[in-house]
Amino acid sequence: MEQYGKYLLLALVGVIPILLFISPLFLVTINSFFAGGNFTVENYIKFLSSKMYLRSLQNSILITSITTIVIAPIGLSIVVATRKHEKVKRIVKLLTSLPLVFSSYVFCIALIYIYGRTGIVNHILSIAGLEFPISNLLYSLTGIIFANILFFLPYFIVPLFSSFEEVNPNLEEVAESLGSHGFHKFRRVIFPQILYGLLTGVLITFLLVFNQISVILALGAGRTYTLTYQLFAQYEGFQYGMANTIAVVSIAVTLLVTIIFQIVLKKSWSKK
Amino acid sequence: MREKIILMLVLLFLGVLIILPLCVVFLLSIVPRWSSVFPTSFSFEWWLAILKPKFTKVILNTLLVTAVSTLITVGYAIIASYLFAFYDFRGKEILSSLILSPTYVAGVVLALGLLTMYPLIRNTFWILMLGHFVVISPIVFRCVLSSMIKIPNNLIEASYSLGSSKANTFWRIVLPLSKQGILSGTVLSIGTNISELSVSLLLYGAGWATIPIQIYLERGWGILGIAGVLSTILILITLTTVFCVDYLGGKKP
Amino acid sequence: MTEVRAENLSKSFGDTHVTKNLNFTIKHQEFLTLLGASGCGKTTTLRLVLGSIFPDSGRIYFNGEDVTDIPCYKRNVGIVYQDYALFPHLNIYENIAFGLKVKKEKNTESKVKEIMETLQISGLEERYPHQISGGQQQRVALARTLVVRPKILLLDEPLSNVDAKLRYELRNELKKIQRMMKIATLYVTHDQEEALTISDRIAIMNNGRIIEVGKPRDIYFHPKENYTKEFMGVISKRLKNLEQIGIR
Repeated sequence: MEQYGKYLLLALVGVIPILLFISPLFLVTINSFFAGGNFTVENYIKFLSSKMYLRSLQNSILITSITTIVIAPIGLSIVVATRKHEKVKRIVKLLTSLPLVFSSYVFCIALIYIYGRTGIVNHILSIAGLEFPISNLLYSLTGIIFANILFFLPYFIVPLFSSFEEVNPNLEEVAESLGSHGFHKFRRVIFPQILYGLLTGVLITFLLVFNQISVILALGAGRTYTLTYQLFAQYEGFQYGMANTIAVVSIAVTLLVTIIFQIVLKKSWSKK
Repeated sequence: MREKIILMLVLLFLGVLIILPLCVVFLLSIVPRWSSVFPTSFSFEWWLAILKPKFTKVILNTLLVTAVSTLITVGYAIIASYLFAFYDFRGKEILSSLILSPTYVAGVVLALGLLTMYPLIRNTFWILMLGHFVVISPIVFRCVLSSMIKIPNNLIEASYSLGSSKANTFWRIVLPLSKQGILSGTVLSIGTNISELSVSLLLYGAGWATIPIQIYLERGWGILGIAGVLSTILILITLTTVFCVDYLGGKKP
Repeated sequence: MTEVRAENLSKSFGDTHVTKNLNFTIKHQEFLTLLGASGCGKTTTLRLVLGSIFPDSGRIYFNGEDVTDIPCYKRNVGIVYQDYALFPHLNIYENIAFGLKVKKEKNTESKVKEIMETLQISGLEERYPHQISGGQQQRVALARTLVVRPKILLLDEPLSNVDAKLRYELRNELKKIQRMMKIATLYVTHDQEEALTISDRIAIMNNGRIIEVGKPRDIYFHPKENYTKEFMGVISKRLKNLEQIGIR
């Protein structure tokens, strides 16, 4: 009787992700191998031979990689600098979480008003007589990366604060009693402890940035395309075959990156 | 002393980069025409424009989708967390990954999946709701589980030994003790639901636009005043929810 | 070689006064125990001597030299915790050699070998903390601290996590090692029996103040303060045979 209840629950809980997540994606994958009712890889050939699609893939990976590479040291520095000061820590967590309250789309619109072609910053610069290429910067890869950094910083910082908090405070005290402090203490005692959390944060940030579309929609439309935007465009254009293909490529990249990271993570976990 | 300076700099840096855009968003809602660099005049005309039925429908849509989606998501999260916190079974890790995975898949991809698999409910409220559910459930699940799993098994066993049935124990012991996680999960769900765009983009049908979708459309038509107002409303709803829940959660059990 | 003197140490956290005008001395090579119930301020006192927190008022002297404003990493004080706090990502050799490497001392290898032999943990160099027993971990923690020849040794309830039989053995070992290394030691515990067997002198603490200081025999047989009588009385009600606990 006891088991009966358990398996009932299990079925109930398990059927939902299967119905709403696994099966749909599975169907999408199968569909990508069909065009005009025949089993074919022509969608993929189209993808791989088209400059436009390859460009989108490249942009996605480039934007995501650079965003992540920049967020990591900035986030780490902020956490290291503020981790011992409770009040400041709370303000930092709150501040960095603010963009989340808005959709990233709205946030980006605001950015346009500040940093865009006719924005405040540009206006100030032209008064000062400086003609920077900043006018179009926001809409390019750089601008998108900039907006990404601002928006995804909390996803990186908040878990990182937790990682630091989990380090046994006695370890730090002991290290100090033995003469270690400052950078030496950080490098030899603290960093190895938080490495796992740090790498997990990097992975999650990468995946979230790679998969988002709002920032691109707000800033990139007309100029910069990414994989997710292409999917959207193809779908709106009724090109369902290609949309499915792009979806599969996107999932493939996500899986690949995750697997690589898991291997790296396993290595750093053993150090704990 | 040096430390204080560094802290100040960090706060200033973050403050400027983040607070500035937020102020701009609010300004957008009270500026009739922001064509030049700085707004020249202020008015509340956009707020009045919101009262048109077209926009009130959008706001109501958003509230409806949010409410239903949150209800279902939190309900699911509670049941799933109960399963994970108090039972052991084969494949626990796999199921856990399954429930948590949607976070790492693009919203548009999830939407495409749903559209492909359930073409019959395209353009209706239901597919939009399902999309929201898939995107938000991992977050809420993680939240509720982290709270529920902290309940010591002894309490549950004690309850059974005193003659309480499973259902009764669940209702009177498990739920109240997971209040923290359930409340934060609800807040997260509401906040994320309201501002959700990536999944909704492909899933919304005629007449079912939500606030973020409308903002996207309005911008396309060059009318940002509405976008500003809608965004400000978004923030207000989220902040109100946070405060309410904070207040409710603050009551000692 | 070192005498520690604490003068009027006061420390508050927020509104709570954790220590109030504390005065005590640890003589040359002496084993002084701070004995008190949880929350009496003994661990805070330990950390004040360690230098990881600073007093709101009062001074600390090592051999007459005022060290109150000197930060922890310059004080050369050794500490062993209840959970031993071994660095989990370093092996035993690296753990013990840590302090020597920081100070860039010569002959690290031989020094480490020597202390490991003294504490009877030779052969564990390549292992990691999670791979050795509790008793071994404690000895590694001691080795790590003692190899850099600290001025004084602080022990924060090191035996609280240990089961009864092992506790008895380890307790005696600690005393033996302390005698051998000739090092002034400040020991913190809530266990009366432990304090009575191991200390040269005991300081009873309550509510941030030192109630009474004296040799174990005096504290047990001739307690002066009421609190001392009550606190130590718990034992006398339990034990009838004095020899059973071997009071010094």
